[in-house]
Order: sequence, then C-alpha cells, then structure tokens
Amino acid sequence: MLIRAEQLNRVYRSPLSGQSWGERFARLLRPVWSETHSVRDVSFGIARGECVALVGPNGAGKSTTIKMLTGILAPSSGSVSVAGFDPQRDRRAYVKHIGVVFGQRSQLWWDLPVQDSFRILQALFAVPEATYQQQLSLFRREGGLDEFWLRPVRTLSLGQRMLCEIAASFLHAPEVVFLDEPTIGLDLEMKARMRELIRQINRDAGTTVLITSHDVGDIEKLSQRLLLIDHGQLKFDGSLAHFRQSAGDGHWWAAKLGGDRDAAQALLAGHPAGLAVRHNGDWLEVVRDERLPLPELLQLLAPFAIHDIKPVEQSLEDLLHGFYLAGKVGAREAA
Amino acid sequence: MSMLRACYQLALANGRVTATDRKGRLIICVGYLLGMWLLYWLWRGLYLNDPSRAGLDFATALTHVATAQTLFAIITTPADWRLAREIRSGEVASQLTQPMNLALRHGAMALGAVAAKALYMLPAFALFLWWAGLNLAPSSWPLALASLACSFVLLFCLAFIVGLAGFLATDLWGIIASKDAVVQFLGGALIPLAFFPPTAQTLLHVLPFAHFFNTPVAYLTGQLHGPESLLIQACWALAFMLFAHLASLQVQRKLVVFGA
Repeated sequence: MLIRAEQLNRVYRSPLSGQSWGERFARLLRPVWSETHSVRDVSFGIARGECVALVGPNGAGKSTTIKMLTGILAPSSGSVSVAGFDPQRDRRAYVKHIGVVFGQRSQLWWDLPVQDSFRILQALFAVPEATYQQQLSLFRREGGLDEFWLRPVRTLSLGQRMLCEIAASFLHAPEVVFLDEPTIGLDLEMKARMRELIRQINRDAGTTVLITSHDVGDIEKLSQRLLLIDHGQLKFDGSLAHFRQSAGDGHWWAAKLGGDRDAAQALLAGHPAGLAVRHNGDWLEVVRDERLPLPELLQLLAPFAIHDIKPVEQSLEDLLHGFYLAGKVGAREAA
Repeated sequence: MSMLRACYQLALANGRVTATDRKGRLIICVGYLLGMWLLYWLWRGLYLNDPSRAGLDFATALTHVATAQTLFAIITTPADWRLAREIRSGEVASQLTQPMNLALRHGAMALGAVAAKALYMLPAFALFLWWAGLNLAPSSWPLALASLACSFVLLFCLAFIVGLAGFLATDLWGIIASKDAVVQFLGGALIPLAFFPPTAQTLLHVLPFAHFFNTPVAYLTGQLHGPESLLIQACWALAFMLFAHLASLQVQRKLVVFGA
C-alpha cells in the first residue's frame, strides 16, 4: 500500500471561557479545555495508482485527514505512512514525493507571470529540466497553459489559476497528489478539462490521487473508490458500484400503466419472488431483481396497458445526500 | 546547491515584486527625500547656537542620522507583516508542503526586497548627500559591508520572530510599531547613541540594540575602525538566527501538534 492510515484520531482542544471574572482569572492560570474529535479511528489503505475520493459533509473531517496525510497536522493517535514516510516526522524529505492543492489556497506568486512561479517551484523541488518540461507538456497541450503562461497570476480567471495550481502540484512528478476541492467555483467546461487532465495523469503516469470534493461529477468521473467520512468516522470504504448497491433504496423498474394500477400492484406483490412494489406518482415501481426478469415483468403487466417502462435508480448525489441526512439524524438521536 | 538556487529564485522573485511598482517607487523616493530635507533643517536648528553637541559636529550628526534613516528604509523588510498575514490566512500550511525551511524562505525573500529597495533608494540617498554637502568615508568598506549584512540578519530575525506572534495575536500593528520604535530609538537611527548617557551607551553596545543601526552607520561614516564592534554584532546575529530558528520550530510544532 502506498498510503496507510491506522486508527487515525485527531482531537482539537480549545480553552473554555469562565462565566464570572473570578472564574476567567482562575482559568488563565489553570485552563479548562473542551475537546472536539475531528477524526475518530479512521483506517484505510490506498494502493499505488489508485484514484480515491474522500467525501463527506462539511465538517466531517476530510480536510483534517488530508492535513494529517500531508504532514502539516500530527495525529493525536494512530499512524500514517505515505510512500514509506512518516509525513509529520520526515516532512521536509516527504513533501518532495507529494503534490498538494488546497482549493482555497495558492502556491503561485500573485504579481509575477505564471512561468516565474513555476520556475520558483522547480528550484524549490529541485526538478530537473527534462522532468519539468515533460510534466508541463500535458498541461500545455491539453490545458492550454501557453495561452496565459506569461501573464501575471493576478490577471488569470479562477479556472486558469486552478489549472496552474494543479499543474504546479504535478510539476515534480510526485508519487501521490492530494487534491482538496480542486474544482471549487469552476464552470462546467473548466471542470471537465480539469478532470480529464487529472484522469490522464492518474492513468498514464500511475500517479496516486486522493481527492476531496463536494462535486459529485468529480467523484464519478475521477475515482474508482470512495472513502466516505462523517462525524470524523469512516462510514464507507469501497467501490462506487458497491456504494450504489448498498446505499439508498436500490434499483427499480417503473411502469406507467393505462389499466388498474391497484390490481397490477396486487399481481406483482403475489409473485413468488416476493419483491417490494410501490406507487410513485403516476408510476408503479417494483424492485429490479433477476428473479423477475424484464420479459416476465412485461408479460405480467401486459393486461394493464403499459404506456412506458424504465429502470430507476437514485443518482450518486441523491445517494450521498441520503447518506449525509441519515448521519445527521443519527447524530441527533445519539445526542 | 539546489537550496541555494531556490533561495536565489525566491530573492529574485520578491525583488521583482518590490521593484516593479514604478509609481510606488517614485512616491517612496519623493517621500524619502522630503523626510531627509526636514531632517536637515531639524538638525540644523539643533546646532544653530552650538557647533558641537555630544562630541559631534553638525555634519557628523546629520550624516549619522541620515544614513541610519536610509538604512532603516532599505534594510527593514515587512517580513513580520507578511508572515503574520500568512499565518492568519492559513497560507503558511501551503508553504509547509514545500521542502524549505520557513525562516530561510522568508530570509531569501527579505534579501530580494532589500536588494530591490537599495537599487532605487541609494541614488536618492546619494542625491541628498550631494545636496547637503555630506559624504560617507568608511575606513574599511569590507568591515562596513559585513556590518550591514549583520544588521540585515538582526533586523530580519527580529521581524521574523515578531511575525510568528501571528499565532498568538490577531492584530500585530501595536507589536510591530513598538518594535520599530524601540529599534530606531535604541538602535541609533533617530539620534546617534553619542547623545545617550555613557552608561546607557555601554549597555546598548553590549546588548544587540546598538548593532541594528549604530554600528553599521559608524563603520560607514568612518567613526569605527577596528573589528571589535563587528564581532559583537556578528555574535548577536548568530544568537538571533538561533533564536529565530527555535521560535520557528516551536511555532511549527504548535501548528502541527495543536492544529493552531
């Protein structure tokens, strides 16, 4: 495994203010702390070349996890190993092997042309000229980097700047790249371009990518695997397909009928497979299952004048939304 | 070698950022010359009825103060403001994902800014010296330049340490203004230390204060000849570098361990 996190915990402590002046003064000398568990017992492994999405609602602990993986935050307990390094202990040597994009921060020089920022990063990471040119070539060819190569960063659009940030994170040919909200605020065209570039580098160069995003498109288009974190805990670790199967209310057939829907529902409910049947607006829905293949379903519903029939499944966005909602309800009930 | 190249690139970049604002440069130079002109008349007034004060004649005192004020304008860098801003905005986290020491990064950038400011302020200083009929006469340029380098290290380290206070306080204006006032007054940039009582002068020379401005100015104006003051200054520069390094480590520990 290129990335291994074992029982990661991160607790933030903040001083509690006293109610009275006396209490406040006493707490100056002997502070009382409140503790917030931002990440709780999170364990996972990521193999070389994988592209994994770390998702969860706001405040779930995604950024804290990324910070621990990039070495800028120490775990309260547990261990992290990335490319054989302890990110926090070996930070200076370790950061040469990773690329990082924090969507709301910049590693570019605002007042200087783009090329100067890249030359500075080349010097900082000691990137050989051949590697530098090779790493940039894809972004020049596919991303149109040359169009604004000589312009000061402050004159770039958000999309152009993010393209530069992502190119900068890949500049030193890192083994793994952490992308924290890389497409935030971008238009559809720019998002698509960005995703394609990341996908190409992940596929062709075998660079491992861990991406956090609230954009379902990023997750669907880029990642093969989902790490779903909520209230600091890892709630799901598996493929997107597996998530689709296990989350939400599954896959259904929906039929619009001209005949008696109640009679049709009774007929399907009496099928030996014992599948769930429900009304949904004008549609009659039955669970998709191999025990009731489509030809047999059509045959059963034929007497009820089928106007339309279609497969129904929840979008990933709906599934994630349901997942987050369930987490909130669970947390409220636990409280 | 690669670290040296990285420092050069950072210095060059920040130097360019500092120097590219043409209007800003012009305003700074005009403001500087106006300040020097006022300084000239202030000191002329002080010496109106007395040709010598604290053992210094008008030309020596004015040369000292004008040179010290010029050094203050050139060598003092906004490393404190920059670092505090980066800490408050969280930008410092991005810098920690780059393979370079935080103090070295800011030091290289400060050096670039100083070089750029020197390029456009030294001609203005030369113009003032010519207008006022003053001149610099160092007994040894190598000692004077070494002293200037030490002065830069002292001022940068102090600014860096103050900037690290961004982890503790939201608004650093008061701290930075106090630091600048103390450094100028006790460092001999506002008035030569010869105007201080003898005991205070001795104390300020042993402590780092005199070495912010008084020592390099004394070398530049030919008041100092031997290397003794430079050695004390160099010792303080090393001590400040060590202290800045330790403070940086402590702050990074706070950031990494406590999450700031």
